[in-house]
Amino acid sequence: MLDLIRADTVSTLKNKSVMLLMLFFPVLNVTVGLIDAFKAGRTLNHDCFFEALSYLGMTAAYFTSVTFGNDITSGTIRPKLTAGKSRTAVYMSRLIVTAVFHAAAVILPVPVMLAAGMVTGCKVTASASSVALTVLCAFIAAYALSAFYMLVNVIIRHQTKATACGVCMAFIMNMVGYVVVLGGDKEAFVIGRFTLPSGYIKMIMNMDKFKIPALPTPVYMLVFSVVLTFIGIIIAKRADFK
Amino acid sequence: MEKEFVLKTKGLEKHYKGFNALNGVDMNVPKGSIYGFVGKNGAGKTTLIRLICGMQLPTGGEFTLYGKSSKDKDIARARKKMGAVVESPAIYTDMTARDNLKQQYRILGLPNYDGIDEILQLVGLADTGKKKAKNFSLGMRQRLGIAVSLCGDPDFLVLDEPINGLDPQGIIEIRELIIKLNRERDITVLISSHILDELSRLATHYGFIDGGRMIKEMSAEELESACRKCTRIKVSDIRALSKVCEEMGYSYEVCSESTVDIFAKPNITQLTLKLAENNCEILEVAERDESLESFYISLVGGEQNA
Repeated sequence: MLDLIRADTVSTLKNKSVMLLMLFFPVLNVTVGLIDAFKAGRTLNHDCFFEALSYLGMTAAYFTSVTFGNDITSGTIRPKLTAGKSRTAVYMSRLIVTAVFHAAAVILPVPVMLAAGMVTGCKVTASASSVALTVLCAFIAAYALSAFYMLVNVIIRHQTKATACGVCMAFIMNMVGYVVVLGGDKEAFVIGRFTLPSGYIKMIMNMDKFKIPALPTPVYMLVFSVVLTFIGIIIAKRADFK
Repeated sequence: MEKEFVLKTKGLEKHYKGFNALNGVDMNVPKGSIYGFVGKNGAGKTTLIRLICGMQLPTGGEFTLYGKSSKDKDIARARKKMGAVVESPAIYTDMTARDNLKQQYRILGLPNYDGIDEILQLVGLADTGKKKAKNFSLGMRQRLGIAVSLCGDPDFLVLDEPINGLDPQGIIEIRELIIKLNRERDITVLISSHILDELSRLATHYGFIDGGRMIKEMSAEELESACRKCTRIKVSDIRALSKVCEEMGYSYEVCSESTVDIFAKPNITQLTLKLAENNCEILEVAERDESLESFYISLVGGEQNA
């Protein structure tokens, strides 16, 4: 699989769409982060470093589309299979490379933001440990979401677009269901757990009144990642690639 | 000596919901051959090629590639000896020809990039420099696809409709390349094509498929004999014509009570005089030259499939 990872890394590095997003993330983060920092009296708090995290779901869809999705539509998956690589290896290699690039895009704004803050004379109030924890969570979340969209991609190939839409709808309804049935804060609890580590931390603070046992976000994410990866591999092994 | 086969399929099946793409295909690709795989659209050519290449999984039957069964876990290792261009060339359009080959070298896990220059030279893309594949012509892309499939020095090349959409110059280039690879590198080639006359210029063996079934497999010699040129003569007395043909040393075949196919260009004047001596009248003379197309049509059921 290392051969595939090496090959996929090079093809991703040469992919202009990916590189554009890698550039876009720090620019977006620095712009929004600096505005917030200046509003708060030139103070760089924890949130200023992770403004771009809000777009994690969208970027995961974008990343997987231009990497794995493109591999399937342009047919570049074919020489890999013909070269005797297993479907599991092909799938996992793309997932790992996509997740790493996605995570890098998410984490890259942190040092850039720090540098921008220092240049503009902002005071850093965020603790290194909380930033490090959020970076870890962001990394796992990037993997989890990449795994989800890889799964959607492979379902589109194996089943039908309708099935894939069904999976996405079920995913969205699962989120929305909490809002409709349980209302307000619980929805934020789920989304906070699923997408935004920092949001989850805030949520835990507000959730005491509901007495819902807190599961550490990285563990929740890891379970989610493993399940999605496993389902993705099972379907990829049965899929017909054109 | 027993014939060696690179690929053998036995009762290979592929079923989709409500549609059978392959219905028990038996196919034998001899080593060192250029195997022309002939069939109309939807006959199952590409499906069979996809199954062999591992892009799809068979729903029934099996195939052996270099003696390894498709049900064997080692089939992936056997696939390392083959290269394929299925439908469209699988290339990274944002990369140059050289980068595309490097990418395939990485996928194959080859230790260095030795041989890339030779492959580029072989397919005539050595001078493309920094030109990205997206700016290549269709013929160049097709040649790059073949170049990618040649990485890792395969013994077996699978080409699915490689000349589709190419101009005459491109067709000639691909044809010469395939012949070169077969003769100089001893690569066995499985090539599917709709352009049967073009296929007849290079194939040494044929497989005719229709409705997901292999109708007939034959060598080029057998096909040539089935399609060979002849003069069909209709006469009033078939015995007299047979006698005259034997006297004149012509190879012939009696087709009906009044017609004979003579597999030569007969001297019509002499033939007429000899037949007149035997009180036999010539009713009709026609030159017959059955093409690969007409042979195929007759195989798959005449006008119904024409």
